[in-house]
Amino acid sequence: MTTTAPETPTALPAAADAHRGILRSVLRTPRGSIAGGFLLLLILATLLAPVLAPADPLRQNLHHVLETPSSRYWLGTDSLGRDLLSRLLYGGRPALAGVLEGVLAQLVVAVPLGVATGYLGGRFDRFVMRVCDIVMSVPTIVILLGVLTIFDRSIAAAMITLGVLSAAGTLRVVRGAAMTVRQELYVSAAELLGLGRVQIIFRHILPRCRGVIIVQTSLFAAVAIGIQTGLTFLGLGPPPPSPTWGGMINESAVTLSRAPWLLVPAGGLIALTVLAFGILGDVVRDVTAQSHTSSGGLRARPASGRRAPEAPVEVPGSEAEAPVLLRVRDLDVSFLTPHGEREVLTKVGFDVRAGRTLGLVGESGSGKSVTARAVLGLLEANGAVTGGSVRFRGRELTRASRKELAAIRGTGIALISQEPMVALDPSFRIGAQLGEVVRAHTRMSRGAARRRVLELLEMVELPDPEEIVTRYPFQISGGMAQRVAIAAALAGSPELLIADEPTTALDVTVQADILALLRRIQADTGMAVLIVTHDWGVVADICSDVAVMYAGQVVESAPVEDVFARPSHPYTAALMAAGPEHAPRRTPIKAVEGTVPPPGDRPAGCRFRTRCPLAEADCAEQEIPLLPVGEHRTSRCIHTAHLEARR
Amino acid sequence: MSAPVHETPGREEAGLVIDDLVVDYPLGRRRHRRAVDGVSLRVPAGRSVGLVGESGSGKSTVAKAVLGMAPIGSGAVTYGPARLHEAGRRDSRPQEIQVVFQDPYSSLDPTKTIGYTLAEPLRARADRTGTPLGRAECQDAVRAILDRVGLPPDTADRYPAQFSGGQRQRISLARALIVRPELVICDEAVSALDLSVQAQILNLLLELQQDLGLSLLFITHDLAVVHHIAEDLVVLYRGRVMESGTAADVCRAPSHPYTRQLVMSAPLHSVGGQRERRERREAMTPPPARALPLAEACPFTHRCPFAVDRCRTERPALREAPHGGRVACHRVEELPDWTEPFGPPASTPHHENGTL
Repeated sequence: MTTTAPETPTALPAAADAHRGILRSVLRTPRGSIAGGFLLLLILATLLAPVLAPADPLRQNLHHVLETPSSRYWLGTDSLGRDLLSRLLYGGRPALAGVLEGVLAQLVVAVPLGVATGYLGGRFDRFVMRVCDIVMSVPTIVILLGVLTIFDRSIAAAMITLGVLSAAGTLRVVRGAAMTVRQELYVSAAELLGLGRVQIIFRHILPRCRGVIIVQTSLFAAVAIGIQTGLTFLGLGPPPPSPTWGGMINESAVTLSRAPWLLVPAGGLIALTVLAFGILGDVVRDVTAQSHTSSGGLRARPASGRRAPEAPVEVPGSEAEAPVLLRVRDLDVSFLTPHGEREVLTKVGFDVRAGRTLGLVGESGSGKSVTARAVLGLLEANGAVTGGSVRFRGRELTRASRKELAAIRGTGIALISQEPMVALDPSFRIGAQLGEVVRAHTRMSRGAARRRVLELLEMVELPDPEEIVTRYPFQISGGMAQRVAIAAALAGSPELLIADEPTTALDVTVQADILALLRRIQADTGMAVLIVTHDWGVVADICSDVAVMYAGQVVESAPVEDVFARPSHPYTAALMAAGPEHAPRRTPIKAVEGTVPPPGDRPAGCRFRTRCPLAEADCAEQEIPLLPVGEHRTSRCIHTAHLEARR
Repeated sequence: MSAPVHETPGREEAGLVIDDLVVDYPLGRRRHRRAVDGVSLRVPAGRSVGLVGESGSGKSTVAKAVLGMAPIGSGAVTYGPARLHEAGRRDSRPQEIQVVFQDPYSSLDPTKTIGYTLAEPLRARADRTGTPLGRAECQDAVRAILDRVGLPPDTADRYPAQFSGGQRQRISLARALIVRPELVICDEAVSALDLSVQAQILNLLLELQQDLGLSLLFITHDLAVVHHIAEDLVVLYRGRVMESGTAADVCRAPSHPYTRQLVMSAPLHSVGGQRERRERREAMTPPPARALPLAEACPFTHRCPFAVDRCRTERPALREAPHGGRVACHRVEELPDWTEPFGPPASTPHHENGTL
């Protein structure tokens, strides 16, 4: 296994929203429905201008000039006594028509070329991109003025020209989206089927580019309305007295000191229209991005009311051993998803003793990584600890302030993760990054920090530390990067190292080296390790104790030999038997059917009962507590005797 | 059983034959990286062959070369009469060869229903051959293949986002199988899956192989997986074949120092057994040399505890190995005999009877 799916809760049926059409999702958000509703209303109103307009937009009434709103003239009148509302409605027609022409021209040019260049690449792509460069360097307004001169003040010609000229920018964005989609494996799969390029573009590339196309279009529409009104403001559009929004602004500018109100209706409407297009683009971008993330920008707050703790399981004889460094009890963690709050961890508890290594074992969805992050207060913004306690050296961490946590991170508890490369900033040399970490923990001079960095690199057994410090992260291999990450973690001489799947992304030979390194460091420094893993081999190699997690609960905890020799929870036994090592070659592996149920879909009572071969009626009756099974062991199963019998 | 993987391929053989394949990826002007360096292997009809190696070993590039997704520098790739190395990138590939990729998340188009995705190969074939494809016929085929991979019929109307990784991998498998291929290439097809889901998919693959007479080219970095599913095994290191033979032989009695290193690095699922394995490994791992070996050397010299001068100046050819397969090592006769516990019997007695 090289990667495990992120363990943040994504209720599977929820993701279906992504396909219900962008329009529908946009209209379901308040911003989207307001902006969309406004634009729809505006379009209808201008289309129906002959019906809706209270007066002829050209009819002058010199008895009523520069009036403010009244029951007769809803929005007032201009300097020639013409009804402003009617002029706005009629003036909307060339404005929106101009936007439409511009948008269509832009789409016709940008979308086919963008998708084609992005998907095909090569010489065609390079040629089109050079043309784009040239087009983008052309001063748009000069060209527009030229076009208006040649085509006798035709706004349509100007807007189409604008659309074509600004297509270059949209083309680049669409090309970028198409290039990303091209990398997807399903496109390779379609190519292998022998589908033609045109078919692939229409069936697989274009649908995925829809989102960016809509965003670009609405942002362009906002620009276009500005340009259209700008041109008519300059008197370049339809000649007066025919109403245009820009023309109305122009007229109001003349009488601004005498009648400031005149500016408000036209100016306000233009501003609102631009805003509505902008918001619409924004919402579409959010909606299309949301289908790829689980949180959708939600932020959870820790619940104030804490729930009753589970009766403590005092494992007999445990007090005599090494002191408990980290004690986690009844830890509840919830994530706020677009579909409500989901409890991800329920009453998780375990101890990490000084100098020992606890393995937190489970599959994706078990909550093992969330547990590790919750201990450090590093949950994502939409997750929060809603109950229970995490005590490190007797100090409560769940209620610790940001400052207190910062003091403990690094010097008390350090973290290494699955992807060491991500933890390193590609724009700084290794030496500089490690030096920064060292100086953050200890106030030492640059020279002393440099010596400490070399010492740390020596400790993680990197050959030639002097040379490594001068390299950038992308110049070293994944195994070396993990060593650097371990060096950074050791910089504060932590008492506890939390290692979240530290070897999952590495090759087996490198994994063996990293595990050996961790073991050696532990022997030298007496550091305790909490290792999160799905790999029984890693557990057998490095752990002294094991806590097995399933669907957000610890289901079994025991010393490592006992877990391998006599698993005391049916899930542990099942997970162990699922390794191909445990079945004779080319015969079926004893696999449990189904998958770990996602939060929100967990069965009542024992959470494993729906997949458990030992399940009986009483498993569903109540929440199963952690029960002691022999010395130093607990199991969340009421039928451990049956498990014993089946052995 | 068909002939083992390591024999010289004859002319017009059934199955996939890769002969002295070289793939170079360009790295800017006039420079290139040799990803695959003279690899030969065969996947005879009905047989499952494992291709194992670490990252950078070129194992996925071999698959890409077969599928026409990597530039073939020299060498030959044939499938029966089809000469795949001569086909262009845009030419249609033989539909007898299908592929399942590693990433269950990007291998299905999120904007299309599963039914659409599964029917696409059928439609593509209908377009190519000009035979009309009935709607009912298409739906029947989709339903049948979903049933075959153990998914309910209503799967067809749903979208990929509604399925877990394991279910998506079943769907990918269904898409590969719907055109009734003879050979399925699994490129790390179970690597991203959880242990229990991986077991389900491995069981399904074995069942399908036996029921449909499929051949499998199973590409993975996981020795335990490949030992379980493959009959023959080819070990790659930095683009070259280090060792080949039957999977059982290569895993239990690896000849090449690299294969031994690989076997010893995979931790056993047993505390005592793993302790022993770890100690043996530590005893025979030399401190890594800094410089990578030159092109004309054995690619493993910088990490090999048995390397001598000859290894650094002369590239070893594949020859007969003690276990009957082939190995590329100058010193194979001089190496100490060595067997490693692998699989259930010796290493983990308490799981023999199985608990579930």
